[in-house]
Amino acid sequence: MNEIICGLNDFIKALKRPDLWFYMAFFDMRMKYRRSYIGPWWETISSSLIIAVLGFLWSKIFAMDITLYLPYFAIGFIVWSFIVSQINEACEIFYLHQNIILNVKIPYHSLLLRLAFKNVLVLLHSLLILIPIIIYTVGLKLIFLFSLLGFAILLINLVFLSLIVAIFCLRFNDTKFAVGNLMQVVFFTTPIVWMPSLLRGRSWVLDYNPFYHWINMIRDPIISYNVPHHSFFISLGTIFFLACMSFYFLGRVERRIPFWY
Amino acid sequence: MTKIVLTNVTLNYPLYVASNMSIRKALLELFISNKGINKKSTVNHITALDDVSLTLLPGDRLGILGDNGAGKSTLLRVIAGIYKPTSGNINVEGRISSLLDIFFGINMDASGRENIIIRGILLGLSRHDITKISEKIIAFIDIKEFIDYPMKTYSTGMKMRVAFAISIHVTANILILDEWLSVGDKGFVKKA
Repeated sequence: MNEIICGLNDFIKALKRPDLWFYMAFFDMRMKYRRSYIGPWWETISSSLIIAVLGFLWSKIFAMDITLYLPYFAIGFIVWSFIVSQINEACEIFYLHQNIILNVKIPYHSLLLRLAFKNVLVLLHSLLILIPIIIYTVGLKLIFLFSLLGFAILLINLVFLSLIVAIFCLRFNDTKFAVGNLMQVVFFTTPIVWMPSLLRGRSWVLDYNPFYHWINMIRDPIISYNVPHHSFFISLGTIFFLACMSFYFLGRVERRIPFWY
Repeated sequence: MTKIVLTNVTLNYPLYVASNMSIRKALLELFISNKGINKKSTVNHITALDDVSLTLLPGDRLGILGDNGAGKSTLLRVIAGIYKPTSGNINVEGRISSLLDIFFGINMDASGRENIIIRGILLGLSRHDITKISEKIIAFIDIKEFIDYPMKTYSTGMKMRVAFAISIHVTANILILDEWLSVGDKGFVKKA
């Protein structure tokens, strides 16, 4: 219990210093694309290419109408890219900011929040391709606001999950290889490319997959004008679970982290 | 009141090397040690600080001398709150600005101007506060148009001027400096 309080304190301290993550996320974004002519619009270009080529190809393979398949795949893919970059980059985050951790006392959560907001900025550039697709295929509805709510819930989930990943990757070098591998497995087992209806009743594959619920709560309001209450509740549950886990792990190892370099 | 009080601070510095950082070892330990066969930790420790007590009051300056590996930086890191002592108490009141590494928080691809903001935020200022004093810092650095060039184009002396200027303009009650003697001509190590 003490550990959880200790971890919670770290999180609260991070929230109190938004400059550490909000402003820094913009800075990271600027640094990433410095000296690049097209800059962050590379994100737009690369996701457009993938969505266009694969969206077209797979709609043929699954024999689906492209106006149904394209928005489905585009949303799933862009949300997935966000998830996967947060988790994969979390593996290296403590190494990347070693110099900060060993010099000043800053809340560890702020590093993950910083990463998350940088990834949000990347995602915003991909919206430039996603929004036209949505408008052309399904139009605009007020119910889409639930997708925004869903995204906020996903974001909080990922901050906690990526902190757990970051801690384990710093302590055990093997973790980052396992995480990379695991994320690929999750990509193929989560309905991003394929539709859940193809499972024909074997829905347990989805029920126990939090990634499905996270994507579903963003995608479903747009694709089928329907708010998936079930996914929302589960995602709120995973926030609680992941927060407790990450607070616990952080509280347990907080004092040891600087020695792990 | 600003003060630093260390009472009987001991720090056992764990030495993690590749062999005891592995997940296999940790898993083995998790299962075996529970059965009471191998309770001994596999991580070697070095007693870096042994029963250190000191009191520093406003105006005090403390210089720490010692051989390499004597624990000077470790002591500073303990005061800065980065390393938590294994035993003993530490009571620090006041805002700490710890500068253990001269180039901490400096991004060589960013300009001097950007680095002032970044480092100011990392040192605990809000963006608003650091932006307010940034002109003063730029005037102090005095490297003209270079301030807008990426820091990797700077000479070593210019880089140090930037790093140094930011640190001394960040108002703190406690300033912790590690091997900074080569930077300024004022060889102060700690100002409380």
